[in-house]
Amino acid sequence: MSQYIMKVDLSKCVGCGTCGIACKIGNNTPKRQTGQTHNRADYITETTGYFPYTKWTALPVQCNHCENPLCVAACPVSPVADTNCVGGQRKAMYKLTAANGGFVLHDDERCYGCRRCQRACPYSALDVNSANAQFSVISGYDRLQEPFQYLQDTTEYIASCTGSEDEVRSQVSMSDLAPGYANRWEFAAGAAGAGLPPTPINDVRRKNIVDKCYLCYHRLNDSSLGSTENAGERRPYCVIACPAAARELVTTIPSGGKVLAHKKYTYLRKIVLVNPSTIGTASIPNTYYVGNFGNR
Amino acid sequence: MIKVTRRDFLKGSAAIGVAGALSGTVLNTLTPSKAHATEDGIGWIPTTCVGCTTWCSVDVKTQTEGGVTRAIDVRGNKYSKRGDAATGDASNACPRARLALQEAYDADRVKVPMRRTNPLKGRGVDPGFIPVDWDSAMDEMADKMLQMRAAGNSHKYVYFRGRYTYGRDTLYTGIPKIYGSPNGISHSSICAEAENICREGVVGKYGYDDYDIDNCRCLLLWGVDPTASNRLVSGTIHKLGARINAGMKVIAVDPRLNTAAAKAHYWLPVKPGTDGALALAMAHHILVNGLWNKSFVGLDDTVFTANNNAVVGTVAESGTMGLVTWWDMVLKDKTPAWAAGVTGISPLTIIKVAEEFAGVGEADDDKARAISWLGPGVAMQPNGYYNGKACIALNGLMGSFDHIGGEIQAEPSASVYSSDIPAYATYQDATATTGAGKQKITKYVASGLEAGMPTVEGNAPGKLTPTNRAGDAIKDESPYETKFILGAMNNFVFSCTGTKRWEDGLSGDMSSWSAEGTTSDGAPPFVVHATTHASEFSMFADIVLPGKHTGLEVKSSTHQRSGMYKNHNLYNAVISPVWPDAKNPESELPWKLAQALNTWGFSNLLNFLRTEYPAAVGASTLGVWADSSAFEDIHHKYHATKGTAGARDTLWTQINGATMTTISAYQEAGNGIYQATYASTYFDSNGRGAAWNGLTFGTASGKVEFYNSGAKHLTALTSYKTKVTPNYSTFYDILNDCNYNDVATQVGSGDANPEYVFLPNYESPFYNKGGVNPAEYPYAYIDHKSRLNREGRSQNCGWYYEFKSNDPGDEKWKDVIKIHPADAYVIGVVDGDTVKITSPSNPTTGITCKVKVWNGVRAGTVAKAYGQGHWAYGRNASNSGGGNNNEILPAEWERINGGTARNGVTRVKIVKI
Repeated sequence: MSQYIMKVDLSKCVGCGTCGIACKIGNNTPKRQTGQTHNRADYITETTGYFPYTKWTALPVQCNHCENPLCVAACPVSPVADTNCVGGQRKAMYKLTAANGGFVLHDDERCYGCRRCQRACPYSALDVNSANAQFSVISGYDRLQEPFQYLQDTTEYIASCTGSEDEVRSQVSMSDLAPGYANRWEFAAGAAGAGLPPTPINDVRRKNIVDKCYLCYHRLNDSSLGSTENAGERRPYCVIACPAAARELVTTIPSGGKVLAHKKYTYLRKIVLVNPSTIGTASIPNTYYVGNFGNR
Repeated sequence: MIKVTRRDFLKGSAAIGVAGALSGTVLNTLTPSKAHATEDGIGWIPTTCVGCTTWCSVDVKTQTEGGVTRAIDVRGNKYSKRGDAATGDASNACPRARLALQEAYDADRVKVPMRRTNPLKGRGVDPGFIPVDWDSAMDEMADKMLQMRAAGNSHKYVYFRGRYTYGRDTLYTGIPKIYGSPNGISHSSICAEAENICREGVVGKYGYDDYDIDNCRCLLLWGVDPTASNRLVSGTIHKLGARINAGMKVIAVDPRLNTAAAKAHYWLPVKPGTDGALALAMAHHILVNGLWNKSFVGLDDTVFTANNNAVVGTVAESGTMGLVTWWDMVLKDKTPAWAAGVTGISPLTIIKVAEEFAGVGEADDDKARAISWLGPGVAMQPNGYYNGKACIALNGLMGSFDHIGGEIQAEPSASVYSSDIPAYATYQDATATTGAGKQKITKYVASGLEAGMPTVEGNAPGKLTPTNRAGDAIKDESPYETKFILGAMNNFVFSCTGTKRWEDGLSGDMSSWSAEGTTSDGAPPFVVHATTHASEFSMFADIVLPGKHTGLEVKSSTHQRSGMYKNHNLYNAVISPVWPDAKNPESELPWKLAQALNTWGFSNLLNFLRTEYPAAVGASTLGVWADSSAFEDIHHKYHATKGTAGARDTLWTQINGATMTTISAYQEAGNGIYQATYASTYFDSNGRGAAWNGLTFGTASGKVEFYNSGAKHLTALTSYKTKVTPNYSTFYDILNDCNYNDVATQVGSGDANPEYVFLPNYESPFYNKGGVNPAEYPYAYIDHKSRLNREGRSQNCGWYYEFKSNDPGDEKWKDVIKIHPADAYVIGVVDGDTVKITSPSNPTTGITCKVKVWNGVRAGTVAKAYGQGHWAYGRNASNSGGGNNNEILPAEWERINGGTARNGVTRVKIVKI
C-alpha cells in the first residue's frame, strides 16, 4: 500500500452531486444543522465569465488526506506512540503512514470536540453559513445535542394522519437514533489491513466530536468486500457511486493534476486549481483534478 | 457472524479508550467482530427507479431485522445493459435514484386514510383531516359513486393519473369503463407530449426515441439537458464526458446555461422560443454548401443558392420527401444572418455549428452519426409544432434517423413486455356503456372539439387528452359538472400551469354536494386522492388514501428504451411497508373499491378483477373477500407478462431469476429485468438500420417528410376543419387560432399556399404576442426542471435542498430566479434579495423567491427552476420558501397537439420586496 490519491477527472464529471448524496447514505451523516454540513463528500460550483462566454464548473470535494496535514498538527489530544502513524504518534486526528495508505483518520473516542482541527484545516469552515462557504471538509457535532436528535421529533405534519420522525424509526424498528434508511452494521479493520489501527467508523454519529471523510477506510480494509483493494466494492463509496466514472483512487500523482488552493485563496466557494508545488509545505492535498469540466 | 449493535460497539469503544492510553498496538485485539454486507439479512433486491421516465433498473440494499426489511441504499442494477459493463452499477443510477430512500422514509407521508371534516375547501383552508379506516373510506366512495350511477351521472366521475407504472390500466380504463365514465385522464400532456407531434410530423412516429450516444459524432441538444432531466439521464451522465474525450462534439441550444451547455463545445443561448429560426438557418447553410447526406437524401446535383429556388439536378430525392419544396418555400431566405437577428446568435456561430453538425468532409455514413435531439424546452411551447419540426428535420438532412450514432426510431427486435387490461366489455352494463360513451371533460366544449385546439395525434383530431383543460372543465362545469374525482399520485393543482383555475374549481362548500341532478349542485367535486404525501391536491380532497411508494413498496412493472436496449423492469415490494395501511394505488385500491361496490350491490367491477386477471395467469378466481395483496400479486404478474398462462409462467420465472438467462441472441432476462436489443442484422455494415435502408418510417411515404401532401396531420386537420363547431373554412383560421400567426400569414387567407401548413418552419415566440406591454413585463421567463426533481415528488427530501446547487446557477436551500447582471442593476437587486414575480396571467399575487445575479442567461431573460414553492406536501416542502412557476405561467398549449406550454409562454415583471 502507498499513499492513496483521489483522482477526479473533471472532463467526465457533470456536477450531478451523486457523490455527495451517496456518501451521506453510505456513511450515515446527519442533515445540515448549526452551520455544519456534515457532508463528507460535497462539491463547489462556480459560474465565471460574462454572457455568452459564461462557464459553469462543478468541483467535487472531500477530505484531501493531505501531506503534513494542519488538522493533525492542530489536534491537542495527547499523542500515543504508534508506528503506523506519521511521526510515530497518534492523536485524535492522525495520519497513517504512506505504507498504510496515508489516510487522515479521526478517533471518535479520543476527540473531545475542541474543533481546532476544523479551524486549522485549509478546506474547512467553523460555520459554513457565517463563512458563506460552499463546503467544509470537517464538520463539528454540537456539544450537547445528539446529531440525529431531530429524529426524535414526535410532531406530525397532519395530526394523527401523517407520521413523525420518531414514528418512522419505530415503524422500521430502528432502536438507534439514526434515520430509517441507515446502515446498521460495522466494518472493522480487516485482514488486508493487519496491524492497522481499528476502523474508527461508527454507524451512528455522536455529539461533541468532529467528523470528516475517512476515504472509506472501512471499505478499503474489508477483505470480505473483494480480494482486490481499491476494486469493486473495496473502494470509497463516492468512487463506486459516481455515475460518470469521474473518480478513481490511485497511488501515483496523475500527470498534470492540480489541487484545490487553500481557503485563503478560495474562501471555500471559489474554484482555484493550482500546481501542488505552490501550496507550500503544510496540508498539500492528495486530491488531484485532471481534465477540464467544460469544453469552451 | 455476530451482529454488532451500536450499544455493543460503544462498549467496545470504551474499552479501547482505556487501553488506548496504554498502548497503540493493542487496539486491534479489541476491535468488535464485524458484521457486514454479506451477513444474513443483507441483500440487494432489483427494482425500478421512478425518478424520471427513463425508469432505470436499480438495486436496493436491504436489511432485515425482527421481521422488518428496510432499504438502506440504492444503486444501479449492474445487469442492466443500458449501462456500462465495467461500472454498470453506477452507470444506471443518477443522483435522483437515491432520493427514493428519503421519500419512502419521509416522516410526513400519509400513514392512514384520512377524511376531511371541514366542508369548506380552498387554498389555506384547514381541511380538518381525521384518520379513518380503509373500509369506511371505501364505503363512502362506493356509496357516492353508486348514487351517481343511479342518477345517470356516472360519467361525472373523473380519474386523474399522475405517476404510473404499466399496471395503470385498471384505474385508468377498468374502473371508468365498467363503472360508466369516459374520464380516464393522464398527466402525459403536461409532461413532454408535444415532442411526439413534432416527431410524427417529420418521421411519422408518435412516441419517444432512443439516441445512440455511444456512436454519435455530434450531439445537438435543443432545449434539453439529458444529464439532468427529460430522458436517458443516467446513461448520458455516464457517457457524455467519455464521448467528448473520444471526439464527440456537443452543441447545446438553451437560453439557460444548463449542465450539458457547460460541458458543450458550443452553447447557443437563443432568445427563448426562437430555436426554430436557428434550425432553419442551419438547414439553409447545410444545403447551400452541399453538406447533406446524399446517400440518404439524394438530390446530389441539386443546387441550393440563397434567396433563389433550388435548381433541381438529375439525381432524384430518395430517403426524404419534399426537400425542394421546403427550400423554395421556407429555407431559401433563412440565412444565418437572418437567424442571427431573430435568435441573438451570431451568424458566424450559426455557420460553425451547422458545419460541425453536418460533418464537413465526412463520409455520408459518418455524417449520419449526428443527433438533433429535440427536447421539451422547444416543443412544449405555444409555437412548438413548427419550431420543433424544424429542429428534428435536421436529422433528416443528415440521414441520422435509424442510423448508428443517430436518433433510433425502431424498437429493438424482440417484443415481450407487458399486457394491457383484459377484455372488459362483457362486464359493462348499459349504464356503463352509456356513461363511458359520453365525451371526456378535457373535450372542454359541448361539441367535443374545441376551436383553436385540434389536439392532433396521428391522423385524427381530438385524440390527445389535454390534461390541463380539466382545470377549466371543473371550474366552468363544462361540458358538464365534475362530481367525483379519484386522483392517484398526481398533484395537478401544483403541477399544471395556471394553478389558480384548479384551485378555484376545487374550492367551495361541500354541503350542497349531490350525486343527483342534471344541473349544478353548487358544490365542488368530491375528491379522493391516493398519494404518498398530502400534496396541494390533497388539500382539496375529502378522502386521502395512503399510497405505497412506487419503487420500494409496490409490485408492478414498466418498460422503456435507452442506450439501445429496451428494458422491461419489475418493481418489487422491496421493503416492509413503512405504513401498513398504505396500499398500491394501481391494484390494491381498485380491488378494495370493487369490494365495497360489490357490497353495495354493484358486482361487475369485482367480478371482472377477480375473474379475468387470475384466469389469464392460470390462477384460480379470487374470493370476494380476498385480501388486496393477493390481487396485487396477480395484477403484477398479469401486466408484467403476456401470452398464454404457460408463456407468462416461463417469462415470469426468467425475469425473476437470480441470474441472466439468454432467451435469444438479443434478449435476456433475470435479476428483475427483461432486456432486448437489436438483431445483429438490423444495422448493416454502414450503420444503416432496416427502416433507413427500406424506407419504412412511420410516414405515409415511409420516408422522412419535410413536405408531403398526404401527411397524417393533413388528414387530421382537414377532418378537424369540418368536425369542430363552428367549422373552420381554412387552415389559415385554424393556425391563427392556434397562435401560429406567422405561419398563417405565409399560408395566406383563403389558404393560398397550403403547403406551409405542413412544412417545418419558424413561428415567433408567444410571449411577444397578444399585446403584452414589454415595458410593463420586461423579462421573458424560462421554466426549467430541477435536477433532483423526481417529477415533483422529492421536494420534501432534505437532500433535495442540500444538493440543490447541482442546477447551474442555483444555490443550496434556496429557490432563486436567475437574472442577468444588467437586468439586476435595472431592477435594483443583488444576490439574496427577495423579489416578487408577476405575469400578465397573475398580475397581482405572483410568487416570491430569492435573486441570483447570473451570467448564464441573457439580458431580458430570466430563469427559475420548477420544484419549490409548495404550500403543502410536508414540512420541508412547504417551509422551503420560493415560488411555484405554475402560478405565474398561463394555462396555454401547443394547440395543434394539446401539450401544455411551459416555455416561451410568458413575460414577467420583477420587483424587489
